[in-house]
Amino acid sequence: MATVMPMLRGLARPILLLAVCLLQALPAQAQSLSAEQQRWLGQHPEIRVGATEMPTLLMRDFRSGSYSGLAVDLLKLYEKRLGIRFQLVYYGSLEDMHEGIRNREVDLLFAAVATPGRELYLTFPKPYAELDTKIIVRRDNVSITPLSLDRMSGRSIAVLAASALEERLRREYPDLHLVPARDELSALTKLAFGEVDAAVTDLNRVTYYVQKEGLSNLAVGGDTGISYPYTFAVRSDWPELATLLNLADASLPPAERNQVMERWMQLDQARPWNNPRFWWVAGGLLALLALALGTMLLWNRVLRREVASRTAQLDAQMAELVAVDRDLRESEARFRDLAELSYDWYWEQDENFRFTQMSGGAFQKGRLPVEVYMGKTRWELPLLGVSLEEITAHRALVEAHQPYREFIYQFRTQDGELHWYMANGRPVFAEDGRFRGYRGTGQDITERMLTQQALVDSEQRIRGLLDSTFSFVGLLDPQGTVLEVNRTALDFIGQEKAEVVGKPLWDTAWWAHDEGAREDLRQALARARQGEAVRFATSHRSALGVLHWMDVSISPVKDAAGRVVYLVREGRDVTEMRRTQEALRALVENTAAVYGERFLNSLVQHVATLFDVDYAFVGILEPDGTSVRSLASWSHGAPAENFSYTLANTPCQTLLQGGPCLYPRGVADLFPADAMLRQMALESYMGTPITGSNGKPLGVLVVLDTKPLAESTDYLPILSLFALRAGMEIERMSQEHTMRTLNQELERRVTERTLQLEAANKELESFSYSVSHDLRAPLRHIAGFVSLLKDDEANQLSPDSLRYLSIITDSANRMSDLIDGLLTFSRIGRAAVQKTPVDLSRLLREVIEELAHEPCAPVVSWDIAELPQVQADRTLMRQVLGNLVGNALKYSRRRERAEIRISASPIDYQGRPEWAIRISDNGVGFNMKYVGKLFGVFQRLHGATEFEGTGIGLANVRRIVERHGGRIWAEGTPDLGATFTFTLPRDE
Amino acid sequence: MELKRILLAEDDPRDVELALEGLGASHLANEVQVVHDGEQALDYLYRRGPFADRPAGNPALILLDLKMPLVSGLEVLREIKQDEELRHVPVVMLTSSREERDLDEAYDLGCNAYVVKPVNFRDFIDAVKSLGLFWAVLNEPPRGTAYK
Repeated sequence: MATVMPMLRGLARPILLLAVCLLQALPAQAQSLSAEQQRWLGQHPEIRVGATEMPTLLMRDFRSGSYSGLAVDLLKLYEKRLGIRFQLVYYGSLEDMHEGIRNREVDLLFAAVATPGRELYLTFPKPYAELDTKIIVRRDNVSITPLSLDRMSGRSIAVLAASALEERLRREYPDLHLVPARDELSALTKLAFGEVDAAVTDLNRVTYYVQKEGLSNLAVGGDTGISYPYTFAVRSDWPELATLLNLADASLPPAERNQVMERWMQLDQARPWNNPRFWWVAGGLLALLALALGTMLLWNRVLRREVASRTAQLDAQMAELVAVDRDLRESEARFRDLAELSYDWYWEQDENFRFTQMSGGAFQKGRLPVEVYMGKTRWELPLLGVSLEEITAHRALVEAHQPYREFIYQFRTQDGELHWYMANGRPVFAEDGRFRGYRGTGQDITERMLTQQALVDSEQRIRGLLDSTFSFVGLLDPQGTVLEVNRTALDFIGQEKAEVVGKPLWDTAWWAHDEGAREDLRQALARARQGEAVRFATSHRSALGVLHWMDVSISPVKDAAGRVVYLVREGRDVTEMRRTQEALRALVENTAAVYGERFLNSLVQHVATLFDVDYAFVGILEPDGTSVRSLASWSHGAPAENFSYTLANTPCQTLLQGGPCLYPRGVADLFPADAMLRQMALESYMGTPITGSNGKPLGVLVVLDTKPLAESTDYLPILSLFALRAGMEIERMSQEHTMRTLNQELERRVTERTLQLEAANKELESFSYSVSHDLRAPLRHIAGFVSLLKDDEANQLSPDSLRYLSIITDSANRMSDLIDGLLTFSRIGRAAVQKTPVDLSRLLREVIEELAHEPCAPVVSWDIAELPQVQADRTLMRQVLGNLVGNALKYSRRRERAEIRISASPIDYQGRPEWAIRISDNGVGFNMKYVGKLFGVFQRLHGATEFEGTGIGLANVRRIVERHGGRIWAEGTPDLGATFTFTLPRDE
Repeated sequence: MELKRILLAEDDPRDVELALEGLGASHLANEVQVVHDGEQALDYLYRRGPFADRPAGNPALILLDLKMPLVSGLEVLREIKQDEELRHVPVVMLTSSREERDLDEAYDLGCNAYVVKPVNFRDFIDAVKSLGLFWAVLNEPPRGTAYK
């Protein structure tokens, strides 16, 4: 058993290693995290990590804010393993960082060394790097024998304040004079400026700062014999996190971890004996060393004797001198070198801040005589290029005995050139702490400043160029991430550059309002990435919420190899152009087809849409000129009720007096007396007067909005265009209204007159009715009683009496005929003419047939042509033919043979087609002198005894013909005959 | 009051005299009951008012002047023609007018003849004759007419 145990113990190690290797080979996901651990991770997806500058472990690029370093790389690897995120929180110093985790501002520190004091508030996972600390000294102090801490009692040594190293040095080497420094850089600067004798830090950091800060006079003096395992440090109440970090670290593949380590660690820090190559190299070196040593030993032995004797002599002489001189020389040389190598000159001031010393070179380079400086404070010098405030602040700083860096000012040099200088200063205190003055360096930085200025100028010029364009210009990487953007584009969305740079373009405010636009953009970017210049139309919503139409292009920028390295995005605001186009289109298309109030409604709708405003209306000036009444109004996307308002103190009054006006913002404040503007919370107003063709104002066209209106010179002309059209329409409407009123008046008068005529007709009718009844009764009685008298008394009456009675009877009968004639005549004037197709030939035959039965009809020779068919009232036409033919027979009955000719012919009278019907006879005829009397009522050319008749027949005929739209006339010659011609309208 | 075979409704006393003279010449005058307006005519026909006591029965012929006070001849005619009892009694309208609308209306209402009052009374006789009523008036009333 006793022999087995060591064997087992010996085997246990490789087995354990194998097990660890196997575990490490497993992928992160397979790492068997307990349910509790997984839950813990789920609850803490983001871990805040305290960070501060600690070269190689963690460094921060102050311009980009990005981090690099060993700890950063490791955290990145852990993030992948654990599926959580580490959020770095930067602290100005190590002390602040520890204060931070004590206050639980952060949960984890990127690096710490475990010390008993820190274990009170920190838990430490396994270390990830072990750094050796070195003693750093100035190069001229390097001695042949390496320094060690136990031989440095009483020497001043700069060390990082609050570091584990400081803690340990204080404990183990109480004799050292430790000077705590806020950071490594200041520790090394103290050393470089000779404030301390040495600094203690690790090799990595000193290398970093020597290279970065140019502290070329520093070198490694020896080992401290202290190395520190650096570890992450977890807040003590989160031990789970420490465990998880250990698990994550264990699961890293060795190759991946080594890669990180090699990237950051100096060879001698990275435990070279872990690397097999080290042994080869070491072996080789050892062999060489042995050879050299052998040779040297041989040579040494030869020389030693002689040297030993000389040395003994010289030593005695020199030792004293050297001891006296060394310190002085070294110190002086040190300063001079430092000053003259690193800076242009070195200066010193006394406790009253007056210059007491300037190094030689300074005078040459500064190009100002040293006398100008000597005995003066800096603020008494003719400083230029620095403000009074800056000088005051600088003076306050100096008087508070604070160090300063990079105080920059200008001088005019002796030859008149303006130069830039930079001064660094540090207060000097005596051993007892008394302030002794300042010392520091000065530098002519004119060239640097000019270069910088040129760079700034050039950048400003380019930026000015970009910012002054109206276009939106931006630079993107090929993936579409914003790198640069100009002012015009930023002002549009009211954001600062920092808010958009680094974001994908489609996630910025220009594109936020519309998913469709974003999709268009993504497609355009994809095409541009392939090298194509893409241009497309889209829209952006401004910070004011106004939608703008954009013409956007994405153009690729290629490198020499033809690869797309950048994308240039340019956007032009084409809203105005588009608005103008839309306005013209709307004006033509949507308002041409409608008129009247519909036109005005359509107009306000289009105007509101066009300018993207809440309200629009057309109002007309009331006749009194002090108020306006709306004819059409539009509100929030719908027609609104019309309204009236008084003009006094409104913007409308202004525009009626002074022409179109635009108040893009604050209109309610400009017109405080306008209550309507305030009530509706209106921000912007634009209006133009509507004038008639005579130039007189008819009304106003106004748009209003609760948001500001863009200030554009294009708006008013567009609005005026609409107003012009509205003016034409309002005038047209007004004329239409006048015409309608006139028509109505005419109609009313016609109706009135018709009623009057109808009433008159009625009266006439009842008059003639009375006449026909009541006028005839006395005649009847006369005739009746005369007849009775004759019947009863015929025997007793004389022949004369009988004749008288006959005359009475005849007169009564004649009177009765006259009344009948008059009544007929009057009836013809009133009765409606009912036109139907009438065949005149047939009607004529009927009439002749009837007349032929009359007694004393003469022998007649008829000559009848074919008569046309006409549109006429048959009964009346029969009366016409009866009368005319009857007359022809009557007046030719004394001829042995009456000749009656009837014919018809088509004629045109004043452009109207007519039928002329002619009836002529060979009767007694008439004298044309009396032709005017022929057609008068009761006008006769022959005595009643000669030819019977009432004298009303031809009057009736003329009235009937005229009521048919025809004419009638007569020609006659006494004793030869007469011809009557009447016309009737002829259908074509 | 006995039933007369002819009812003459005429407001103008001269026309009545001329009519009676004419009828008298035809020996019909004592057969005539004269009334002076349309209301009296209807009273007679319906045996009411002053004529309540007259014997029952309808006249053989009614002569109606068109224009009469109170109730016009046309209105009397409308009443007669709407009455089941009276509508078969022949009615002759007497008028001085030749107005066509009077003529049309009278025939529409169902009058049997329309005579423009003759200046010469003989025309009346002709009209009665032409109605074919002469013998009826003189000798026989239409059916359903009481006659004694």
